[in-house]
Amino acid sequence: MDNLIFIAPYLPLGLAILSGISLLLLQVFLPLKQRGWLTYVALIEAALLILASSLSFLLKGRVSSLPAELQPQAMANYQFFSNIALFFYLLLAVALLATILISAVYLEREKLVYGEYYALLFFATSGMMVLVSANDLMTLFIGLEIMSMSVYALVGYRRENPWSNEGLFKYFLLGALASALLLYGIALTYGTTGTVSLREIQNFYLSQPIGPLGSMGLILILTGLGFKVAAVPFHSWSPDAYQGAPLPITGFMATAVKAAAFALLLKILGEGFLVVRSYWLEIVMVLSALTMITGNVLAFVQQNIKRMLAYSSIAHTGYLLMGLSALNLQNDNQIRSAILYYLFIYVVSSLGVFTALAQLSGQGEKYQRFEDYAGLGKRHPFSALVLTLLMFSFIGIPPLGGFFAKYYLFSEALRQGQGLLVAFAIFNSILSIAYYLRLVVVMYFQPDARSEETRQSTPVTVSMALALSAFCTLWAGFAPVNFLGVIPGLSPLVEWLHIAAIF
Amino acid sequence: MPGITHYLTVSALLFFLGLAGFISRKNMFMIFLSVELMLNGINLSFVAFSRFFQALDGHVFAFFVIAIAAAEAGISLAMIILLYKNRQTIDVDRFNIMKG
Repeated sequence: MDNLIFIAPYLPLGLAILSGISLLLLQVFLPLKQRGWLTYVALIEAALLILASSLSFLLKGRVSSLPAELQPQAMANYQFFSNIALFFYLLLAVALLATILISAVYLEREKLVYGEYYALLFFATSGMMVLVSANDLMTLFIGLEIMSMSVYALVGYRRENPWSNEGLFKYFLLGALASALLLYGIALTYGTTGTVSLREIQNFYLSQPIGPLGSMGLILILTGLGFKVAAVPFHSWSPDAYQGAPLPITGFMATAVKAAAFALLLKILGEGFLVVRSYWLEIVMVLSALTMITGNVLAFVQQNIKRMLAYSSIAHTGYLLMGLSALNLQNDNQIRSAILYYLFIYVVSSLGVFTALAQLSGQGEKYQRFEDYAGLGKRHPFSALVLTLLMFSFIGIPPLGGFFAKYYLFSEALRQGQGLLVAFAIFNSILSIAYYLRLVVVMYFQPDARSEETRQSTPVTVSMALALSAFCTLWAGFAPVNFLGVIPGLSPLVEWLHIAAIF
Repeated sequence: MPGITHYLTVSALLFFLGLAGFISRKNMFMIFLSVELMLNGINLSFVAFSRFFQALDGHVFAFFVIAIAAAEAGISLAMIILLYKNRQTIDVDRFNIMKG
């Protein structure tokens, strides 16, 4: 038991890497007809990943039960395993599990080879896990690259599909450029501070000025990260990559990859460069405002739902960037909680949306346009209901989770004196009603254009995933949320009473 | 005797030559070679800084960057072969079915 406490922090990451390798080997040795088993193995391994993360967390609490002379070493082992890292481990593992669930039906339908698909998903997840628990720029960059390389390969997985090819090419080209810019920024930061550790960088900037080399490094890092999170004006790859990728992978990019990229931003801006906040604050504010308005306006003019969701994801990036601009020198945990809460709601709701779309888009993803979804309320009442709920959550209609995500984020930003930006964000949320409600209107109030088609039933796994996503979105709007103490003091129900007391 | 500024100048030159190549070239191969040029410029500055501080972090980082560049080259070559098989061209301007 004592030994387990020592190795526990390495369990989730080790399991993710081993799962990837085992799936890769398994697909070589399994006969072609039995490749379907890979799905079950992958599902079990993803579930184990959730269990392993929880187990590591439980064992972290037992460190104090060790003999006194062993405690310092055990603490050192857990150093990278902060509660925020654990939050992201669980979030990523859940996104991975949901992606595998969607992919199982999808790969079968599209007659794609299983091959290294699941292995790449696990490798991407292990890269994200390295990234979210990294404490220095070197590990951070390597984690980012492991993630990106695997996702590049997944985006181009439909090899004969011209959209997939083009999406892959644009994503990879700009991704490589972004990595190079980020890396040059890291090199210049290293040249200024003489260290790559985030904590030492912070200590250095506490006592020394940032200087021309350091500020150039900071700007290059921000540019590189801007590409990775798809902030305007570095967003141009994102709609194309989202449209080109297979739908489960689009979901994975919109949830896990985005969450990991924000973990990265939170680490770099919230830890390493927090003391030089005055240098990046205005840049982040401008990026945030540009990202919100561009995302919302361009989402409105799209005819393709996948592209609409890509731009909507860009708009959400804008709100999250606003949250980052509220990070302050008092190292306030409230604002981090608000950002993490927003990410949680966004990931859970997006997973539901992409599950529904992967199922409804039909063979070869031929139903991607808004008019294809006319009459969905009659054809698939349950899917339509869940989609409606999730769209309302994206808009931020109370009492759904999306409302509280926005409420916390906006009120925290307001508390840090970002009044103008918050007003702009609220204006943008109102704009977003137009395109989110459009899907609902099309589903329920437009006549069914293809009623002659046979109605295929929804598989049980898809219905379950949809129900779970809808439940989480609803639950987050009512129940107090306290992720293992990562998100302290957020309880919407209490907040409800406060709001009621005002009126 | 060349000092750190000389190394940094060469490194910045390599980086920005690579960036210029990335922006202006139309052939996919040349674009990826430009990215490699940028990465090598960055490596040079890592090693120069590392020597300047008499520390090893920069050297280690440079090795990791070389490994990452190799992985990137692997994916880029696979991608170029795939695109050439499907379209018989690797001119980036020809891949333009998605807009807006």
